[in-house]
Amino acid sequence: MNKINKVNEEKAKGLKRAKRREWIFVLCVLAWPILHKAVFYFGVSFSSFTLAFKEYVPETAQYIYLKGDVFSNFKNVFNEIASNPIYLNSWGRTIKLYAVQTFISMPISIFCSYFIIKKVPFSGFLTIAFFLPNIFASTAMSLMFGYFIEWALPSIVLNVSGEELPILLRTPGTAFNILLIYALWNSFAGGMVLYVGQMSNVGEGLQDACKIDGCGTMRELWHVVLPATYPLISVYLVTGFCAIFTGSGSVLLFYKYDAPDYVQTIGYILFTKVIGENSSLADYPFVSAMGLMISLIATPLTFALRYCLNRLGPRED
Amino acid sequence: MKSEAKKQKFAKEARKRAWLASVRLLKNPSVLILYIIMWLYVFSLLFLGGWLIVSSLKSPMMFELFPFSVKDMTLSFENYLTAYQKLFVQLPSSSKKVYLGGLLYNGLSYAMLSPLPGIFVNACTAYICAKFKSSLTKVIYGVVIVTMFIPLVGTTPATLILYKKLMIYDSLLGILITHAGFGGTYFLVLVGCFEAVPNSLSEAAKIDGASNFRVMFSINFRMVMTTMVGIYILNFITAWNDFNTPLMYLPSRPTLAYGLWSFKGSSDPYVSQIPVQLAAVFLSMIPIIILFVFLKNKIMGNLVVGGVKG
Repeated sequence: MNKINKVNEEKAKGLKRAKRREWIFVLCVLAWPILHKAVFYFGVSFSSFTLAFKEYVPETAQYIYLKGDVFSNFKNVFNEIASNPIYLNSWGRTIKLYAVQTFISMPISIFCSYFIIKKVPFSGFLTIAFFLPNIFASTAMSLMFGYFIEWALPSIVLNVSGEELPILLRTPGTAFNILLIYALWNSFAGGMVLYVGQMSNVGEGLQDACKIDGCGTMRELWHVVLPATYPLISVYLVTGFCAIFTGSGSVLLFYKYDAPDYVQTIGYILFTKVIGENSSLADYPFVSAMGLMISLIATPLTFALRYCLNRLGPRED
Repeated sequence: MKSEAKKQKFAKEARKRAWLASVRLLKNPSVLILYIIMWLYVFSLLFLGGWLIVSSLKSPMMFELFPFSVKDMTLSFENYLTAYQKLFVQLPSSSKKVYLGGLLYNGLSYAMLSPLPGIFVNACTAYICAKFKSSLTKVIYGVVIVTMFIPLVGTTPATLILYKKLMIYDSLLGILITHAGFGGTYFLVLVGCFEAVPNSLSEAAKIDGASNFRVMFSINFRMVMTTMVGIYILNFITAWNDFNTPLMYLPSRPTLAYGLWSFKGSSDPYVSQIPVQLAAVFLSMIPIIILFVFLKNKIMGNLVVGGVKG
């Protein structure tokens, strides 16, 4: 009896030791990732938050907390948004860019992906052709597209109709539309590659069963393929919404630091205040304050969008 | 011999049937319209690609006179030589110039090294989350999900200040450190992969006396190596094309993608020549095309939810 107890005790001790070793192992492995997240995500977020309540002192090259009116950076942001037409119009342009990619490019991409999966003629070639623009640098694609619009297109129009085209990327009425066309052209294939991959995972058995039940191509897409692809679509929509204000979009690619007022987006304005020829250390608190305000508005909207997409989206039965 | 001929005939017929079925799809008018849109898009890509190649072979003067025409023109590879020898990026706050060779070297070293720490840390964290479920790992998983959906706007100033304080600004090592974190869709993909590895393998190794680290590296990491390689290739492509990181955090190590961005609007007599810039654009595409030719199936086969198939 004693022996059995001893063996059990030894076993329990061994298990305890193994458990402790396991915990030490887990903490050793997680120590760096947690530290990294704490510094480069939470630390940066916190210091960005505090920077919104500071001002730059050029003499000491330091940021100090605002005395008196602690919300003066936020007031400046409000004033700029309310009175500066560049800021006012940039909101609309930022949303237009997102809308073009979401409501035009995405549905076409989804439909085209489906027909590639259904093996329309030359679908193999089409898949490769759609994939290639994704792997080339956006700087290379925009340089090629920009020079084509600036140089080759006017030459073509002149030869065909005898009319002289203005420089489209420097004309107020056309410049931003060209950027929208580029965004559409560039984002079209990007989504397609992912949708093709996701749709090809839909079981063939399911599609065959649908066919036996007399479903046409469109009904199969609507009732079988779309619900199976929906998680990817909703992630795309939500992360796309998250990125509306963070990216400078194609404006930086085409215009570098001297974009005309009529093409600027919120992301571009914030970017050029921090990086490049027109940036200034004194603008950092302003950018942080504006970023904080946008984040406070955009975060609940993002989660609401995610909630709605999860609630209202199609379900696989 | 006969059966071989029969097989070939059967395969031919199957191909023919598949072709007819695919053509039948186009009878639907909506499918036909979308099919035409697809081809128009492909045509636009090929058209611009062709224009890029032809323009990169024109002399700068010919390009200015006839930016689109191909009549009466002599094509030469001189622009490619000029691009290699004369295109440069001027480093900010210094007189040093980085030529195309240097840009290629910087781009390759950045693209090859920068994905490694991120994939390693992501894999380690994902392994723990998949195999050692506890309240701590639940919190980590939750943090990943929540941070994916929180739009942090305007944090660049704080990031720059932090990098300068930590003395990792404008240093490749510093950028590697900042990349050595976890999160994003690749983390979720790796968690899924590790969850799919049977626990019996780890248990058997533990009975044989393997330590926890050995079980992690020698068994589980090996089992998901294919996915990790797939993620590495996709991250390599992303890093090769990334011009934002060198622009913001690595100004002394300009890459080719950054170079292409900075050439536009240059006042240097060589750098401002458009055909020379277009030659550089084509040169920047060559490594990616080579990578694509050799790893086509690996790259395309791995692209599913969030980028990579588990």
